[in-house]
Amino acid sequence: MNIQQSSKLPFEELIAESFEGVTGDWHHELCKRGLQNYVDVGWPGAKNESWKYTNLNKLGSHSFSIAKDYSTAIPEDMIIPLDCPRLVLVNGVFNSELSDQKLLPEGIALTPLANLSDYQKTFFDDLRLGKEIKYALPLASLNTAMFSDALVLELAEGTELSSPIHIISIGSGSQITFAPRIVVNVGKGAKLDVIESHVGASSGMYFSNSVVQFNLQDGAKVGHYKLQNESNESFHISLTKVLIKERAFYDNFTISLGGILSRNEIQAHITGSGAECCVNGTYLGAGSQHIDNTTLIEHIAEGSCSREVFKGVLGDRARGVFQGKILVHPDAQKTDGYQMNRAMLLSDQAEINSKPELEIYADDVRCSHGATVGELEEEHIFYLRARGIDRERARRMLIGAYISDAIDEIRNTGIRSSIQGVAENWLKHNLYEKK
Amino acid sequence: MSISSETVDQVKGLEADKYKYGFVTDIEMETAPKGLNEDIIRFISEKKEEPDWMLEWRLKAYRHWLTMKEPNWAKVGYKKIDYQDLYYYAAPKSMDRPKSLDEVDPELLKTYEKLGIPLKEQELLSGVVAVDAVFDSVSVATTYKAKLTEMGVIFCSISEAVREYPDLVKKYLGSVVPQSDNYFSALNCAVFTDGSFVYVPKGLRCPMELSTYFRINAENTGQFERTMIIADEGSYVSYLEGCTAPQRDENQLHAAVVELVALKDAEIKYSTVQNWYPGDENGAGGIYNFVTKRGACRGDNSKISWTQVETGSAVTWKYPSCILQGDNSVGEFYSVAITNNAQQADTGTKMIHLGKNTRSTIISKGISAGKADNTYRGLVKIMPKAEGARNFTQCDSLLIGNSCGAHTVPYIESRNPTARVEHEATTSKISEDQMFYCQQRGLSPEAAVSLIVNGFCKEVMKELPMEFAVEAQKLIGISLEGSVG
Amino acid sequence: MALLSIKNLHATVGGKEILKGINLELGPGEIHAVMGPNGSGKSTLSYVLAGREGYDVAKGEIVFKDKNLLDLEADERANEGIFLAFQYPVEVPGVVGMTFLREAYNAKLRYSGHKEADAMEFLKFVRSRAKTLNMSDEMLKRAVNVGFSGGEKKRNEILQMAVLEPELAILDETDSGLDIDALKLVSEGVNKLRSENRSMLIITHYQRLLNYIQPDHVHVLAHGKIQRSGGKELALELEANGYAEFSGEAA
Repeated sequence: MNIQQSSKLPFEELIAESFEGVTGDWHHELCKRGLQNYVDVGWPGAKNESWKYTNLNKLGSHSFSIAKDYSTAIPEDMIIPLDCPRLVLVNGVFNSELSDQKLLPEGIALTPLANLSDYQKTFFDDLRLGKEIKYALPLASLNTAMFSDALVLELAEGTELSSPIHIISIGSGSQITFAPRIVVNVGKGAKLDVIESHVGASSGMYFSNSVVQFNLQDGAKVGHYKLQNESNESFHISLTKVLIKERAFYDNFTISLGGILSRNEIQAHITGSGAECCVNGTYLGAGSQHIDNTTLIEHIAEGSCSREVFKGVLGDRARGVFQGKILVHPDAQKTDGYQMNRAMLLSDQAEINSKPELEIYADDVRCSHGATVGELEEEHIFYLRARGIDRERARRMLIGAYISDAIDEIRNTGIRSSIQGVAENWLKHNLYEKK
Repeated sequence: MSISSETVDQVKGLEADKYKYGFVTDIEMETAPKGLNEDIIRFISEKKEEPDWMLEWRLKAYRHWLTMKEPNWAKVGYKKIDYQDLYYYAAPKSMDRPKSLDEVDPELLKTYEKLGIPLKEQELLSGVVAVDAVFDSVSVATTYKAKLTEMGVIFCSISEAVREYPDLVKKYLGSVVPQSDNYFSALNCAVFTDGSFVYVPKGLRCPMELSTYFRINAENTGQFERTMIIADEGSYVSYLEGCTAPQRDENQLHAAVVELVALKDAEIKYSTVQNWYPGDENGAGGIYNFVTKRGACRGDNSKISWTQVETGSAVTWKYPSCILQGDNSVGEFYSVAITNNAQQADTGTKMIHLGKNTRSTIISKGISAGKADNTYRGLVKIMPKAEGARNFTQCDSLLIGNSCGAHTVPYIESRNPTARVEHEATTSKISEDQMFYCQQRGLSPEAAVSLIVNGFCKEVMKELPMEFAVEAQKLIGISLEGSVG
Repeated sequence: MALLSIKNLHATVGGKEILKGINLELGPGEIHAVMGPNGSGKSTLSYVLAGREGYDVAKGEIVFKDKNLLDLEADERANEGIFLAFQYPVEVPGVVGMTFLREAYNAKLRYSGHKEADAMEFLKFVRSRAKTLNMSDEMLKRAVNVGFSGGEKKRNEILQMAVLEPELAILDETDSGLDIDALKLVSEGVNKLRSENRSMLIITHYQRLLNYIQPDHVHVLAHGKIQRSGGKELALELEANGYAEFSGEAA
């Protein structure tokens, strides 16, 4: 390993500890490769363009231990309230007692890590786009080095599920770290909605470093809705990697509320024509929260379209980061790409850093992006007040409307209203009725 | 055949480009020995008859430069520059600081005539322009000097300013772009040879356009000019800058620094038409244009406006910026960047909002053809005290052909809730409908592209002074020659 | 002798045959109307004549003023005197109408070996043309067709025609999207431009335009072929009976 380095990278010793007693099976080899990739790139610093606005020094210098306890109760009031089959990970490990494995409809298969087929193992191949430093995924490599269990879901060709599946990742304990790993492979023409909730069982401080993969085969239709509601002092870093093949449709929405520092990174690769990809979200920050949304939408095949809308509200000393890139390859003619990021600062000490980016190598495309930063329009407040609504109520109405505008992007109406409720609840407790 | 595939064919079939400024002036030159070290810097300083403080300032910058690394974050690729294989000083031998235009070498006057910049004091059709002509490392002539001096305007070469107005130079030199700002600016601080110096006194609206015309002529010579404009309280000045270079197979380095200071209620309008030799269609030769341009709106209600039309250079790395310190100060950046063949441009701006109610506008139009890469990179930063700050940014890219790239990389950082920042960007191509419509009215494909591109750039072109707008418009047509029809 | 002569014209768009043997002759100063149901190939005919890319001639010939039109590019055809008034005039952002028109006018002058027009003279000329059409040249101060209403776009086309003085004007569904007042205004303009040196090919779905612009000949185009030809009374007959007669696949 890296002998030249005088001090070890964060988590390097923990990994060594986790390797103890593990035999040289496929999983262990994979972890070793992950570790090598992690060591090659190192811990991300300010010089790493992708991490320019998110400083991980505090996370890197904190001392964590590996989670050993995998049982707890589901914190019902923290997750998206929906009546549907649940699959639960506690500290990154599948918990069959808390899960409704038996309620899974026909056509969907859950395979334990130990029983993966050779084909399923290929899902775990290197996630990087290339060896160049700009493609480095240090934290995802760290996940590969550390994950102890994985949730591998497969939906058979042509299966259309009417009810969503709810995947819940619970962090339980204090000063621990874990690495949830989730793979969802959706067969040709199959249809599925997945809800992904990340919550803490208690107020304990932990670090959840997740990697979630979605593979959409030709004509698959997937809704993927994520709630990041980790406990207040926790760290949440995640990479969502999506492969979208011909005529497939991927609808993503992320709502980020929890944690002291979080990063929701999405990389969607459109490799088939006629595919459509929506990557949307909202982020709500208060206290000294730091919330990072980083997205890459890569148009590789001709004639696909993407749409991205992110809206954030930041109060107190909260800091928001939005980095969004649309990359259009030379062969991806007729690409239609749209991206919009809006952020609202509600306090003197709040901060937003936004970097919407276009990188385009095909000429017959229509791509646009926009970004705005600001506060509520005084004109709008006045209009409401002129109709007899007091200032505070007017302000709440406008903030609520601002956020729901983003939430309206969610295609599944049931999930849309649930997430709307979660957002309103957060605004009420963190911005309106605090103290 | 579709427009794009046709374009590609035409680009392929394109003969060496039609850079009409590619000639070389045959004139005896005096150069410093090749390479860079403290002795060379002493040599330059001595040639310029500089005071000691200037030499010390240069040496300090040089020592700092030695500790720095060449930046690599821009989206450009080029052959590594061997800084020891360059000449850092080249001047026409006949040049012993002519006192008047009559004393300037006729060969030089001919050169400028050929470039369309007659160094004669004559009324032009649309107004009077005073010109400072910089040839390689030295300023060869400044016109209308007497008239300007009468009004209290200082317009001279920076070498002269160092000797004649040391207090002004000392006060402002490096105050906007510090010596250690970046690799190329540090290098410039150490070896800058000439450039223009402008001071506009309090309350004066400078009645003529001031203009500098830069010409690189000598082989293997870096041009490191340094320009400084100070607009005192309540004054106004409009400054134009043009540049060309001979057609050579090797790359040439141009690392300039421009510092602008606008005091209370002052306004500076800075326009550039950059037409350095872009290299041939395969990317051989051409200028590396690595330039640091920055203006400080020091006083309340001051304004700095950058307008640039960038058609030349093999590689461009340039971000004319505004530091909006004074309350209600205004920064503007209007840019057209055209890249064709193997050209690469990474250009944009920085707007740093510090004062209350500061406003900035960014309009960028990028056109990419051939195998070129064109990147807009810009930063809008709102600091905590910039109450009520406003920014509007619009970046549009146009692609002609399928082997080029257009990229938009804006950074938006806000730390004040009352600030409002808006950014819009689009990327598109010239539609076949538009082409056919123009052709149906009798325009050749080439004329149609030129017309459509000029329309695309209109918002920027209208910011240029009349004298430049016509030239710039023609230049756009020439730069895109061979990209269509 | 005919100004335009089309013989056995077959044309394909994206590999699909749209025109399947068109024969048509236009004499100088004549006005011909081509009518037909949607999808009959009317617009294809206008684009083939104007030389649009992607509209490929598979067979047949088009002779204009004794020249083989198919040898010429779109701009050369325009400069030879063919003007297409577009069904959907294209927006050209940033390009001022007057500039656009001057470029086109000068291109034609250069093509015929003349010197370019003086800017002031040209301006006067355009104003006088606009005046004869009862139009203001206000439109020409704006970017070409950008933000124009449907009526303004069509009027702009007619004004351009008046300035460029073509020998053959092709009016592609000029009546579409116009209310009755706009239709009158545009038709009046066209009528003023009628002359013995100018032939017109009016392509339309409805007869109503022909109430205002009286044709010398009417042709019915369906399934890529001229199915019937006659005088202006044929248009009235179509108005009464519709295109039902031509709806079946022709033999």
